[in-house]
Amino acid sequence: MNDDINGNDELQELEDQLRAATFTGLDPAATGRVFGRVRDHVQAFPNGRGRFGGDWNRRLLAIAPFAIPAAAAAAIAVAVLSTQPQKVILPVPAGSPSTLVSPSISPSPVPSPSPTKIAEPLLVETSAPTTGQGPVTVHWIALDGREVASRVLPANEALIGPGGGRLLVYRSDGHVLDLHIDGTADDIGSGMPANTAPGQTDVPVRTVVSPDGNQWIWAKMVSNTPQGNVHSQIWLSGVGQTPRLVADATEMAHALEPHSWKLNSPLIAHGAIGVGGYLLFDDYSFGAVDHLDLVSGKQTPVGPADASVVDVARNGAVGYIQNHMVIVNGPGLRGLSFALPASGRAGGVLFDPTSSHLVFATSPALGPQGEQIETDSIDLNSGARTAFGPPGTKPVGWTPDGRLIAIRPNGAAGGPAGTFLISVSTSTFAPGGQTIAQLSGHTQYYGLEQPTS
Amino acid sequence: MMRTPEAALITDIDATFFSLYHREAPLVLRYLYARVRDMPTAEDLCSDTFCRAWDSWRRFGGDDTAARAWVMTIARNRLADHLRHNRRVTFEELSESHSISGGADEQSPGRIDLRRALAGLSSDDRDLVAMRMAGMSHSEIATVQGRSEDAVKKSWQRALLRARSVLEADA
Repeated sequence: MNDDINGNDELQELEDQLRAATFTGLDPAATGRVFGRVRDHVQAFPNGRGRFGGDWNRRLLAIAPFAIPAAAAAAIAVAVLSTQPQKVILPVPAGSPSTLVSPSISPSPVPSPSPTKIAEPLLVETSAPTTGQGPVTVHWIALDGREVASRVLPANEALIGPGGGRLLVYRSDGHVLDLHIDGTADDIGSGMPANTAPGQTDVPVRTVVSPDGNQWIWAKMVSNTPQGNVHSQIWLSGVGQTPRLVADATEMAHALEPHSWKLNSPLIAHGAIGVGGYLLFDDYSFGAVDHLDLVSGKQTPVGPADASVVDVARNGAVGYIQNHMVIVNGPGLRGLSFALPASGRAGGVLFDPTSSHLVFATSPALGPQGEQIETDSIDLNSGARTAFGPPGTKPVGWTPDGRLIAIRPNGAAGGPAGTFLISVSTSTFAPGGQTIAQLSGHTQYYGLEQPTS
Repeated sequence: MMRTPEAALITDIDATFFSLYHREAPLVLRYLYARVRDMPTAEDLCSDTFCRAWDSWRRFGGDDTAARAWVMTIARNRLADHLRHNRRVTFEELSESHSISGGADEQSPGRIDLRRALAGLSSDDRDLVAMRMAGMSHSEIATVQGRSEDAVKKSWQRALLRARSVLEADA
């Protein structure tokens, strides 16, 4: 713009005024939102030509919300994406080629029969002595608040979490057990790191369970040099399977770790090493989050490298926290962003089962005592943001029928600690407009164990 | 955060395209927003523009200057398609809230009524003014429009004189 007509200062001034009038208040995050879509397109079509030409994503988005059910739309999206060329990026570290994933190995083992089946969805929670020392008790809680059963874990066992109709327990010799509600257990796997520490054992590595309970992944720290080069791995095992390596990376001050596993493939994080302090929301990734394809080993970013908390909806939408903002991107969305409090503290980012709402919790980070936590919902159709639910609670999960499970941590303002069930819908997503029930006084929620056929 | 080269998922051709995006996307988005005055629509069009650009990226062989003209040409084509299919998104149908801007108070004598100022311009002139407001030089616009730089300057002059006369008549 330095070649303007000489002597046209007045016109130049008018142009400047028009420019200011046009762009004042323009959202600076807009190009970032667009970039997410463009990057997704580039990664989906690495050779530059989409199945539907350049408009593939818009066509999918246009038909999915209106013409076909969400589940079918998601299936179509998966089918389309799965036909695209894949970039295999898994490195082959020297000395361990036999442990790497192979496309010839099926990622879906045949589940072993379970002798005890539950008849209804049950929350799985734990409690422990307030001193932090002593046995851990597992509680099965029905959605009407009944405690259906409880079992005290032996000192050499620790809860991993539920998946489908299984409840996985780590044993300190590296074995994995499927704990039944009647207290019996099946030994369904081995090969996890052993834990020889005295006292009540912990799961020594972060572990997440597949939605069907038949597989699980965990992280292994191989080495950490004084210069901060961290060599880490993700391992996969399953019912009756030998563990195998599925991801391997050496990164500066970051290590691979499982993030969550809600859909077909798990999310893993490149988590920062050494993060500590007051961590109000324990679902932080503190690093980039990737989809991990368990067959090819392909890692596909699901948010920016500096995103912290990430969730992926069943329809493929991605929600994450970045730069004091909660950001949601397609399908069917034009990019939504919502500011966080000055503390920047937020967590519990969860899409609902129908991919129509996103919930998340925020906090001013006042400290463990008297912490003020607020849960907000985003209507992904209208973009409306609403505070709702009991004060002091943060989202931790959804029931299959679309009710929100939330936890009020010990010390949080708003009432007694415990687990709450919140009935929400489009019309009742507002304070006072939902049914609220306290299910238990426990605050260590692991997930839902669900009946299987 | 550092990643191993194997895990980066970024090839050289990806990197050069993403470089193009980061260099040109703000300009393209400003241009599209100046035309449609609706940010979600502008974001959609900008996204489509760069997705189409990526689809042809391996066949593009120009330098940075040519790349700007190329991607702006794609953006203008996408905009033209959009306007053909959605005639309601035009300057003429801006809401009142969009017509007041510049950070000035609504009653400020210095504020500009964009709708009034630009409504009398031809579509080509509106396009020219939008590209100028987005940050393009006359020579760059000349390349995109396939005209001489002098012709673009004269059109720009006439368009702004017309806009000014509208504003003066209102005053």
